[in-house]
Amino acid sequence: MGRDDGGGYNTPYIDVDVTSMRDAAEELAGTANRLVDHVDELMDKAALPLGTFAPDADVYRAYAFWWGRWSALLETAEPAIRGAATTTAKAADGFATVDASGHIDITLPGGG
Amino acid sequence: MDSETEAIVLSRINHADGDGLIRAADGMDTAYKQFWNARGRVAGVRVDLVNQWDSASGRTMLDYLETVDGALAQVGGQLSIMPEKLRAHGRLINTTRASLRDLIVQGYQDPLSVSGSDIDVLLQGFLDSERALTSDLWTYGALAPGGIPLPEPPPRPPGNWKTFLFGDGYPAGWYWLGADGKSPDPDDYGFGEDFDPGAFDPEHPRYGYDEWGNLVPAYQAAMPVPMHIQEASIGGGLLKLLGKAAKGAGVTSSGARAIAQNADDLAALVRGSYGWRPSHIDRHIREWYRLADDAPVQPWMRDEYLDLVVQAGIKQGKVFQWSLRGESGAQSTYSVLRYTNGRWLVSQYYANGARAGEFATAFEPTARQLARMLQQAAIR
Repeated sequence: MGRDDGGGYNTPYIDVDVTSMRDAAEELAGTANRLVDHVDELMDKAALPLGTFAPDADVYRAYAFWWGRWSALLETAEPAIRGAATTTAKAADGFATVDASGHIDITLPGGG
Repeated sequence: MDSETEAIVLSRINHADGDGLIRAADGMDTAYKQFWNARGRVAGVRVDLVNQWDSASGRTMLDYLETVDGALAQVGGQLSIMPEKLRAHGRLINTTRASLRDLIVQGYQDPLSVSGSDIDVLLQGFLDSERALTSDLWTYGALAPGGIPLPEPPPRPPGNWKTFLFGDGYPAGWYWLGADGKSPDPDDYGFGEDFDPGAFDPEHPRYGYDEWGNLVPAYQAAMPVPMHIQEASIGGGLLKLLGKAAKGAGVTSSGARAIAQNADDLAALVRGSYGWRPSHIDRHIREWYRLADDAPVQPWMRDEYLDLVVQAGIKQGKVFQWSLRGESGAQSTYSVLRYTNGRWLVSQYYANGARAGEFATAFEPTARQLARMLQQAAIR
């Protein structure tokens, strides 16, 4: 990825907006917080069918299999979003120390 | 429908709670909307970050958020598909129960107006719906990320003196069948170094039998032999597993006791186990009865709690292998669930170690603990 420098070349560069990145981090953190509550609500409801099916029936084992596998993926979402929020906030802090104005636009010779 | 199947189906209809399934489906619908909203927020941040954080690290973050978005989309997909299926089965349970009740009342009033086939039609409808739901749950469950585990199989019986002395060419415990329902020739099957007898390999699918005697992929089968043979010989119930665990560990204490399939034996085992000591179990009994931390546990509470634990062990449907975290690290347990009066109770028994076969603990799990128990059993 790079920006046309006007001369027809794509020059590798860094272009960040620290204030907006911090907003993005807050948005991600808020989303993760809400997700915790939503996952808790869903866990309660999703356990109900296990009490509904006869414990010795295949459908009981099949439901345990389905929910066991998909709930695992579901549980990865919240920490992943929270991790993204933390990383984005830390990155914004890091960039802010480079340029106190909150905006830097540096072209690196080697890319990135 | 034969009388044995009829009895099974009637018992399941009596046990089933259609409204519970409908409530679960409604909860999943709500969660679907909430996750869709979360997905939208993550996607919005991604779009913004394209311009706000344009660097190698920023692009890595974009890729990462795309992965998160993909996971939410996959879970959302399940939450858009499965609720309708659960709700449909829940409604069918309710209508079947109502229709059966009407038929029974009608039969009392006018016996000749009700035939066995009237009832059979209702029972068959329930059975067809339950089987369709079961099939969908297996199919959609298998699509989730992660390997698929196989149930712990019983040891292969020795065939003749040669196999007794030299083995039969199969890895220990490998018992599953080919697509034709017969044991495959070990020479035709490559047990490489990465062969894992505890995992289902979709490239080389193995098979077993479901509760109706149908040949199904091995992870859907309780055991590699039909149900009536399981009950008559090998069996996979908790009590047999406890006996096997105790003997395997060479334990000579209460855990090694020969346990018959009855409540008294299990009660004696639990009472005699280290996990039932008051300093441990009273805390869980207090939690169950919502007592204060320092409130005394009444003898009737201990008796009733013991009965709950025993009933869970006797009437269990599926035995989960679940790790128990203690002072000496994680230890594998055989765990069973019991749902009673709207509350869950999980009881755990040591699967190995010095206390193999003994009762470890019993407590009311949170919904998250419940899900983690299912996760351990469903992902390899």
